[in-house]
Amino acid sequence: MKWHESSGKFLSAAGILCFALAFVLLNSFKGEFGQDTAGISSVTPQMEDTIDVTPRVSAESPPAPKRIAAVEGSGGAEAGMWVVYVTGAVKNPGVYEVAPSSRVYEALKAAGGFSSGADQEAVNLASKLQDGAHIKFPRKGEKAAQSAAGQPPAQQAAQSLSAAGEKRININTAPQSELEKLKGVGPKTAQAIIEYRTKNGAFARIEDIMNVKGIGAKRFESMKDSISVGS
Amino acid sequence: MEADGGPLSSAPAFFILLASGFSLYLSQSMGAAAAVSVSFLFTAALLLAGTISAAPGWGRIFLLVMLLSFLFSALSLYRLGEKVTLPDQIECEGRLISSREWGRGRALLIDTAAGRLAAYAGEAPPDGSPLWLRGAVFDFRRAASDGEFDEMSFWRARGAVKRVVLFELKRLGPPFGLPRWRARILELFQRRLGPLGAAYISALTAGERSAFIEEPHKRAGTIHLLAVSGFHVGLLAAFLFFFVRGSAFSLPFVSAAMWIYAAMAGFPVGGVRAALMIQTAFAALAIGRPYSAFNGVSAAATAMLLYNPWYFFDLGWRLSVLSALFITAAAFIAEPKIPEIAVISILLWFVTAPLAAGAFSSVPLAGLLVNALAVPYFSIIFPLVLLLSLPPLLGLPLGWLFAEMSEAMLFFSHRALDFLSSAMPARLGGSTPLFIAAVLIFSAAAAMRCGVGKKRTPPLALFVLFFILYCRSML
Repeated sequence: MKWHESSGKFLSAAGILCFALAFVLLNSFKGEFGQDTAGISSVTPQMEDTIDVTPRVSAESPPAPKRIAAVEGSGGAEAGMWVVYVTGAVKNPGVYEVAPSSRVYEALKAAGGFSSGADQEAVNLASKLQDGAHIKFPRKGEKAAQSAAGQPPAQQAAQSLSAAGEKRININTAPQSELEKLKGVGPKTAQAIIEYRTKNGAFARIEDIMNVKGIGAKRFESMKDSISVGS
Repeated sequence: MEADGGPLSSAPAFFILLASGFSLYLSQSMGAAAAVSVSFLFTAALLLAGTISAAPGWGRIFLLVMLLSFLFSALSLYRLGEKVTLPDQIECEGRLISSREWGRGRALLIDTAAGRLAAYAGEAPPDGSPLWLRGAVFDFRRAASDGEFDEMSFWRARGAVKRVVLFELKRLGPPFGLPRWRARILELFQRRLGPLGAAYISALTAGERSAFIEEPHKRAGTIHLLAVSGFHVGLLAAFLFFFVRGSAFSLPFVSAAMWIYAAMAGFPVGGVRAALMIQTAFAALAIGRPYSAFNGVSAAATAMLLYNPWYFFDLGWRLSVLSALFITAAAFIAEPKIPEIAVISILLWFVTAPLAAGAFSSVPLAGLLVNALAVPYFSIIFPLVLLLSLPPLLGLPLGWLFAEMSEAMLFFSHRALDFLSSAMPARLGGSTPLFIAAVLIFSAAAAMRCGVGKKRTPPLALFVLFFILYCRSML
């Protein structure tokens, strides 16, 4: 029997094999995400006066950090877990799930620890994380601007002063009463700002306040010199 | 009628398109490497299982098609994942490419040195105007669920890289270039034609659609007739070709006219796809090679994905490509008689309904029957309206009479659409049975067109359905 006469059966068998392989691959990679990091806020983790690096003692040990897939919104995160984005001089940069109230050292551990050449003192490993935070660990000689996780409160406070000496309101932390001091912001808008940051995580930049309903270009222009995001 | 030979000799470009499109689809739920691998295997599976017997040299062509499928898929995903970085606030000069009605305001597409930017404003300067702008730059918003507007897909398919919230927008001078001519022509339509005539001619020639003519078509499920698409480009090409046939310059003349038309309409996806397809047909005609419309649609769609992979997520592109593929496949299989054409029209509604229902939550059931009447009806009415509009547009004596005749015809058409849509007011939401029907009908038509044969077509269509349902469950 010549090849081209019997080839149909062999090709069909090969086709079915390819289908099967495609299914196996699909099943293996189901839920794996692309490399898009859109939607992850790049925010400064909050600082505290008291530095506590002691791992929490708890009857129930917190869930172990884990690398996750989807990064659009928090679709890939388990309910109740925080999602953080770790980049820079770490062994495995990526998006990770960590237990709520985790600290920076836990995110570092999830990312496999420092890679060679990391500036190990540039970031305060004891500072608290926030859901949706972006932590960048700089290399030696690199500016630690993104990794503001290690900024002391005094420095943070100093940064909230404008060149003119006017105090800027941190839209990520300010309470309602303080937000209402902003030009054009009443109780409703202040409440909307708080609701927005509670739902979507901290504002990564001051322009993001225009994502809040009721704040358009004109209002933003009138308040932009009075607000900050704390970094 | 069945295609001679197997899938590779019938429509190789279809499989390259399939691989590219499928990898883009899968990239929403898995990493790029996995998406490319799965789509590669899926395409290979269809090619292998669809080939009844391998002719001499089959292996080489198979390898070439698979290599191109892999390269095009990888390139599309690479381009899709490219990040565009712009400062938080931008202050630059640019040019208004186009603006369109957007709720109570206008949506602007502005060409700047930093790339094309989308913006929303209360009002817009004339298209083609040089501008200076200052604003804050934002990423596009993604749809949270099916049926929601996905700003990212919409604007990226139109070449925009970011959204800008405008603080200031200044017009630096008068409009120039093609948009200027487009604006002038639109103004001429408004001045010399009746309201319906001006609205239709604006939509059909410049892609400028008005809400008041869109509404009856939306209710009747014939809104696609107002978007400059393969239907219109094909009509124009056929019309011009009829007059210049036999001339040595017929192909360059019709090609040039077709591309000027596409440019005037703002390069709509359906129009560009059709123009590319007709261009490949002309090229085949010029060099004396056989031409396959089904393969031509696939090649045109693949070229568009290579140029801008975001087209894949654009509803207009999807509807245009899916419709053209189905029509060319079905027209090849069925006899070109009225009952067959009516059946194709009804089946086409089933093939495209899940896409439209996914975007708009539901589709008018009226479209199922109205399209079978409306498509042939408007393919006569539109050229007629265009011809009747020429005397008033050229300022000829008694031009107003022709304008009135055109207005009366369009008025009657609107009333007929209203009557038919009110007789069938029900709407159908997206559902799994509808999706299953669409996949099975399309897969079977494509398989038959690719020469898979009557025996293998049903199991292959079922395999495809099973595979796509499984993929769909991951999203």
